[in-house]
Amino acid sequence: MTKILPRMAQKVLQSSDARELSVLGYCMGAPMSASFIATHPEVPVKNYIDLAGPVDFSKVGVFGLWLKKEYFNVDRVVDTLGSIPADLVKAGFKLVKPTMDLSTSLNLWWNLWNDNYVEGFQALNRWANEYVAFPGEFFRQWVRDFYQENKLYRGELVMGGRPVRLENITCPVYVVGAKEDYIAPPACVRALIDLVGSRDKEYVELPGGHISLIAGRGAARHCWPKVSGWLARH
Amino acid sequence: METTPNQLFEMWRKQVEESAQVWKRLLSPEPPAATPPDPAVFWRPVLDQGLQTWAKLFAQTPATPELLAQWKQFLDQWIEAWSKILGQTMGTEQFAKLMGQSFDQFLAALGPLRKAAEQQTEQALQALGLPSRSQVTAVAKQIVELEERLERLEDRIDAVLRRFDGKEPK
Repeated sequence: MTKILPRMAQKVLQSSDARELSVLGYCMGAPMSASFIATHPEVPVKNYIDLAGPVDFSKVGVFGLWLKKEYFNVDRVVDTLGSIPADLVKAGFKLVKPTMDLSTSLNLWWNLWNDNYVEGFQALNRWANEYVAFPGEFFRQWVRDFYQENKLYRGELVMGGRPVRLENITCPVYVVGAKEDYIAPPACVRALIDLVGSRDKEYVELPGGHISLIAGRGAARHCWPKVSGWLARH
Repeated sequence: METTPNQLFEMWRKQVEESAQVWKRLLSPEPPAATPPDPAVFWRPVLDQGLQTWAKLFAQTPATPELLAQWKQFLDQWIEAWSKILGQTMGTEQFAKLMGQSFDQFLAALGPLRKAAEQQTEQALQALGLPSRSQVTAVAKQIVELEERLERLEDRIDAVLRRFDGKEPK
């Protein structure tokens, strides 16, 4: 992350001939992109959007509980498994909301003759169920530094040798939480607002869950018009 | 046989209560099995029981659109009720501890098997004259380092070109 992101930013600026970047981070991409902006003041960031990205991991809900140091030995997991298989990641997410697949299947069956519904389901369902494996060392750092020690929120995180201070983010910031998000509950997302050094900052809480916030009909109605409107104003 | 909404509600209530007992048994303090966590384990017995109840009802009553709509409504409520029960249970320290223990046992069982399999694979690859995983990883590391060197060179060439173009002060 510390090697690729700076180059990506540089390439985007070069290829687009733009002077500044708009950065948007979703889910775990949000704490990472926020860390990147905070540690790279030389990158010209015009504005930053956090979509359902956890920042205060003490409020991250059931995942935070399951991954507590007392119950989850991340070193043992990584040392035994190497990389974290996609199936294991999937099992973890499914377990957070065990009835989700059941209600999804029931609703699909109920709307099987509604072409619009089926089309939307196919588009979303495939993406939502395509989990990827985690590289072992990334998983170790992610669980230990973010979930177990909440280093980003406490200002103790170090990435690529640079201390991550979220108050170094001074560009306009827009934070979006989802009301029914059980992966990144609104409280842990909202925390970014209190930590950034920006004067122009805004938090909104929209209907939907972690995925329906950004994908599907609800997202097209609630989230994206708000985000594009904010971008147009900033 | 005519089935009224009250009867349906009563069946649904009974079903939730019975399912709660199944769920309670699942969380009994028996030692957890050393198998990978399977989310289906937590709701499968509950679902099976619910389906049995409704199968009985449909065997006795013709499936009219009204009954189907009621069935869908009850099922939605049933899932919602279960989602809350499961959410409350899984959000407890006791559940987290139980899951941690179960996962630890799985890792303890898997660790030696995995190590033995890796050793055997390494030996087999060596016998066949093929590169092992660690050797491939070492090559991948070298490629990444080469990529980084190329990128640094690219940056320097870009900087020189920008100077020639007059975009950057000398």
